[in-house]
Amino acid sequence: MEVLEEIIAAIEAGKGKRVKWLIMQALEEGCTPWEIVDFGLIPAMESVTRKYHDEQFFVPEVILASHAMSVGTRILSEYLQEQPREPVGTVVIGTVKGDLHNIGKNLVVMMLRGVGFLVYDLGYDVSAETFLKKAIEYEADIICMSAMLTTTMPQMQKVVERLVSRRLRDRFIVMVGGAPVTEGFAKSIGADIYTKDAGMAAIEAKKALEYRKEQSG
Amino acid sequence: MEIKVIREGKTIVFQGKEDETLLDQLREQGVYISAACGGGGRCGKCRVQMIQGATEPGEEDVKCLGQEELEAGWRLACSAYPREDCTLVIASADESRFEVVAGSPEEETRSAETESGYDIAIDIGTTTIAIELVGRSRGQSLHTVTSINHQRAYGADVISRIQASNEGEKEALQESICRDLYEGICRLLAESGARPELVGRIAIAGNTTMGHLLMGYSCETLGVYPFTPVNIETITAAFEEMFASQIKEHGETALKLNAQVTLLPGITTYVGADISAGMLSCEFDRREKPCLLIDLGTNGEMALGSKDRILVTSTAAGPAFEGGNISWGMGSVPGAICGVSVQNGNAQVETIGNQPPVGLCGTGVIETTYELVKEELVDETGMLEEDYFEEGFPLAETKKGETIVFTQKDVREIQLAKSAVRAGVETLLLRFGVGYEDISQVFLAGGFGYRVDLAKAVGIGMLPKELEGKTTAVGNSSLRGARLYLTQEDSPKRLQQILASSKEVELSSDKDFNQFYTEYMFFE
Repeated sequence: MEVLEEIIAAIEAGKGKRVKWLIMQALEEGCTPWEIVDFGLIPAMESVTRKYHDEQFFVPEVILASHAMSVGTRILSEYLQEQPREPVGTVVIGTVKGDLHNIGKNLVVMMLRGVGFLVYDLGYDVSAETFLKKAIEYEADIICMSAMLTTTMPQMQKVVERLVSRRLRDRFIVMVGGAPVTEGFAKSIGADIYTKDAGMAAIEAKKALEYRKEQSG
Repeated sequence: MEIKVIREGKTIVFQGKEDETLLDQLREQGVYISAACGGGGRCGKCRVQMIQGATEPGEEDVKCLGQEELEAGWRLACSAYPREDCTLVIASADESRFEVVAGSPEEETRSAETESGYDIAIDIGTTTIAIELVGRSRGQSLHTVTSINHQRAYGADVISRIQASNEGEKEALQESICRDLYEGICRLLAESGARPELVGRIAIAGNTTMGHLLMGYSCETLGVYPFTPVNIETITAAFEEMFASQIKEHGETALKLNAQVTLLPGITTYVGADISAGMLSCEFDRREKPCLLIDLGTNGEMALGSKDRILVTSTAAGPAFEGGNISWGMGSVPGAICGVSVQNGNAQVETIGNQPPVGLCGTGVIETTYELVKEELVDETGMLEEDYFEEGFPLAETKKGETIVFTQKDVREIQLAKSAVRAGVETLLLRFGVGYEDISQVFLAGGFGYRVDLAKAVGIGMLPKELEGKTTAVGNSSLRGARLYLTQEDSPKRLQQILASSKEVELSSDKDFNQFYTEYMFFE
């Protein structure tokens, strides 16, 4: 439908107000809220992610686009509650202890919500113990950690070590990211997923969960 | 296993160790190579050419180096573990020729021979070190020597130094800075002809991490919130105590000064003695109207205030202004491109010392960005024109015929750096409750700030246009602060006054800062 194409374009351009207006339009035209999510918001996010990867988009465009998308998710959430769909999965996320950087982590939160995860944002300066406690409390599928300083990266390892020592390692998928984090580092501490950016994080998280469900089901 | 190293025609051979990276082994041998990211396999600056016995290329090598380079034996020293006899060539520019800004141009040097006594002022920068001989009669600078900070082999920024210290390199880092200072002081006295027995006091200013590394303090708490320093008060020690290991090493011929060494006090972990000294030299404590001091280094410290109240902060500008994280980036060495103009898609460049171009220093990075934006080869979002998107914009050719380019990634690095500075300034103004018009003066400190074309820095949005006319480059204000500390009797008291009225603004979790940071990433 044309209006869905327009929603995608408006999100890419970071135009929150226009996204809001277009969503109302789409609902009037008879789209279901879930159609708008599946054929509007999610493809928009995937497109933004692709453009970031191809270096056509940079941090500010991604931030603006994700703001526009969060406007969309907020409006739709009322309607979506009337026709609930199981969340894709549950994530606890935060910036690790000793680190106050928030921008990147907030982006991942928005992207994860965009693809249908139930996300508990623990904020910044989150201790290993808090990650564990909240992951258990919320029955999370994924623990997602961000660090922006090489000096705080070792905190991620602490979380993995505690999971192992308490025999909880298999219960959670561990995701890590942040500017100084590399694939090699992620492997070395035994994390399951590392992605370079927020959009890929959401896509990979979804894939990993689907794969896990297949394996167990 | 034998490792043979060839650098600038000289060869050294040493016994290799299987369980250490090539970078670590080179450091142990005193072979200095730059490792901007601290050996993390990201910056590609520690590349060496293994012309014999090359290791298997690893993941990091593939990421940082091209296919041709890999085939020619180029590897990152930080991730190479040689397993057999090998020979390597280090071709990276010798950064020991780094051009360091010490004072400002109007300061003339006088003959040292007429003085009855001397003091020595020192600025320890993360990248460079400046050491100045001060005559006691008139408090004047008589002679200055500069060098790079050889701790750079452990990483370009303070965070990677902190990490290296935490990972067991604390003693090596202390040894490195003590050697740099000791050798610098020896050179200063030899070159100026000043008699060592006439040296009375030494004052050192530097950021908090530099101070910790010099004193051998643990850096464990510097890198994590709440960023508590071990000690940032005024510290005094005897010369022979502080440089004991150097003196021991040199034995009979060692320089022994009967001098007292003072490390100036800092404000917080991320706004250190270099900034408090800078504020002293800019006379913050005597100003009625607020003024702004910006140190355009890797840590991007800034201070805004007047005699009653000062707000300080630091913003992670990153090493882009010093040529770090830029494809062809390098320090201010001869041959580094420092001036650029672009017309009809063609670049004209100027290099330091008019040498054949070898890379791009910080000012060259700013100039290139400005020109590309002006010529609309980079759009307002920072995207490079399609024709240059893949290969980068060509600036010049090296002697070997390689093309020095400015890539899309480089534009992105500069966007991050300039918006960090700008957002820092905007946040400080907001918290202080003043507008541009209330600011009486802006001081740009640091070697980079000294040479940068202000109009171009404003042109890319690093500083607001409204402040352009009020801005002056003040060179090394930290060094000048250290000198004032020695020469003006009331300086220690004034410095305490500045410290007492300073308050830190923490930016990384600040909502306004994050908003500004996004906003100013674009070009206008």
